[in-house]
Amino acid sequence: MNTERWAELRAASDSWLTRREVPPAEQELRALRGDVQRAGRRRAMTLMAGVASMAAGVAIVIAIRSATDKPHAITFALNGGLGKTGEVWGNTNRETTVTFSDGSEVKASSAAEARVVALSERGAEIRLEQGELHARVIHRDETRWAVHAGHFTIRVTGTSFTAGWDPKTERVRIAMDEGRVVVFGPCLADTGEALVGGESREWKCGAPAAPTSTSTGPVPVLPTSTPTSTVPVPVPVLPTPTSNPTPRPSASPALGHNAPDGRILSGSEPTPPTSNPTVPAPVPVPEPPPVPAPPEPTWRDLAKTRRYQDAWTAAKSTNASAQASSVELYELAEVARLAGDRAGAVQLYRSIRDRFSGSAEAARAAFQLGRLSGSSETYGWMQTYLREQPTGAFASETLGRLIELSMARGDRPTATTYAKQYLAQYPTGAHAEYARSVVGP
Amino acid sequence: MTTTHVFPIPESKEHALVDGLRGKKSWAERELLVDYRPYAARVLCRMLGPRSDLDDLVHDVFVRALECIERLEPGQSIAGWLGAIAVFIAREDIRRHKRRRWLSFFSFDALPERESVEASPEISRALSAVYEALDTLEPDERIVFSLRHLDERKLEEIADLVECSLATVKRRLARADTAFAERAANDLWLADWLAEGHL
Repeated sequence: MNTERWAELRAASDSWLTRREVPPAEQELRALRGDVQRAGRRRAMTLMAGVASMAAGVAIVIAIRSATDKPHAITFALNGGLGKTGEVWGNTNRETTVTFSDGSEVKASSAAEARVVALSERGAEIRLEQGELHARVIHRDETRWAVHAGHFTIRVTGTSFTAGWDPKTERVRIAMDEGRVVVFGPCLADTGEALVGGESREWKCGAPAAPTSTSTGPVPVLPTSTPTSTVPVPVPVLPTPTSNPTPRPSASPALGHNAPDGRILSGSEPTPPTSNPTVPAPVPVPEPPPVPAPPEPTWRDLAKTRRYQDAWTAAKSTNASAQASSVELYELAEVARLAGDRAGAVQLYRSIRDRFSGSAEAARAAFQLGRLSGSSETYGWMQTYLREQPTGAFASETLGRLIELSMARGDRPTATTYAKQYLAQYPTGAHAEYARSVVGP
Repeated sequence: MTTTHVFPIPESKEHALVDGLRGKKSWAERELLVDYRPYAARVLCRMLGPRSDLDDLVHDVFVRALECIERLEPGQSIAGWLGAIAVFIAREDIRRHKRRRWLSFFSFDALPERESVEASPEISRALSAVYEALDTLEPDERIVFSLRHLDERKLEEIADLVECSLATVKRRLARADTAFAERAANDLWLADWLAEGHL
């Protein structure tokens, strides 16, 4: 098992433990004494009642379960209580987490608004009103999960993905972590569009949005006939001989309009001349005032929803590292690493070392540089970390690694020194047995 | 019983505290709470993860400790004694949630809220993924696994805390390691994250 990873989790848990609010000891002690007294009285009564109720209870449970043949719908927990369908959640200043009894979990970003609209024994349906949510759906036989965003429906069978919906621009965006989803919408084929792990795509019915930088899939295929979906289509209605001759203005004129053959064109594509000269010319309609676009998510927002590639792209485009604090710069380096940009991550870790020398982040950066560097540099970075954080969160792993590296170099005296230091600090640590073998009898 | 996982408290002070607790002295109860509450919280947190109801469980540990104070032997390690109670409370909690999941129509608070940890996105996700994987293990195996890997306990210490033989601890740990590895293998991100940690 991986000792370094456990150390990282330990450090994070410890940090949470120390930061959380704890009731004052006196107040806790009063509650404690009261509970101890009540527990004593309750225990005596429970003993008598227990025997009688046990038999009755077992009979009732068996009766209920045998009487209800149909499986029960899953439940979900929200804000520490049992959630209700229709209850709107999110749109608070922090991320909202909804956990389902089948093990699935949905996290709504701080600006998101969503609600569970249906629950069944096979899954749930969620309506995303606005913002972004990250869903992690546990796959089981015949799992039926769906996220509705505007006119789009994302059908899920067991996967992890982020979905965003902007009701103003009517754009839906899906970024897949893993698994597979099928997206249905008025401008998509009736069989839907499948997305698999790693893909990221954005649609606006009326016009497909350009694929994002992380997209690996093809641009959605647009139907060549009028969509047959029963969901209202938020695109301009084309004048036809049988329809109302007054065309509606496009909600977003720059984004798309329909061609006479039913295709939906991008905003930049010129409108072909109409093939039906009997159609009256459109009556000019004043354009609605422009709706201000919602603020773009920052790289930290994106990182929180695990869109590391997008977060890294956003950070680079805004030159986020220039004004970042030591904590932010370390987080940014982590994002770069998780986005797969090893060179970028190394550069940022080195930048932390240069700009914030002596900080805790600088020491942690040394440790990460030790992990990411070649073996020749690892030794030096590990020594640096240990010098700067001799009892830090990674100290035991660093010492363990230094023992191994020293032995690999044939430098037993140094290895022995590190081994003795390790045993003094971590006599029961994961490397203790190895350290003892190096120190010898 | 020995333990190295608690802040150093002078032996003489600990002996006096044990005597005070056995004598049901209020100062000793207060001191126990003040000195050992962080320790109990840490042991529970290792087994159950950062949870919104952690303080309720810590409270339960101390209620139980004061209820059965007569079982605390003179000279016994308070940390070991409280640790064993924390293990008992954690096991009960895990089983209760499993039962409530089974009895789905009784599933109020079946899923305690996982607290968000102020850590990097990577660590937050890893914490969540690890405890999700642990949720699928058998309670006894989960406890042994958590105490060994997340709390860095020696096997002998774990045997004391879970009150079973060393051989049983080894068997449980082997089963837990296998089950966790299988569960992690199904989560590509977690598998990758764990593998990255190899230096």
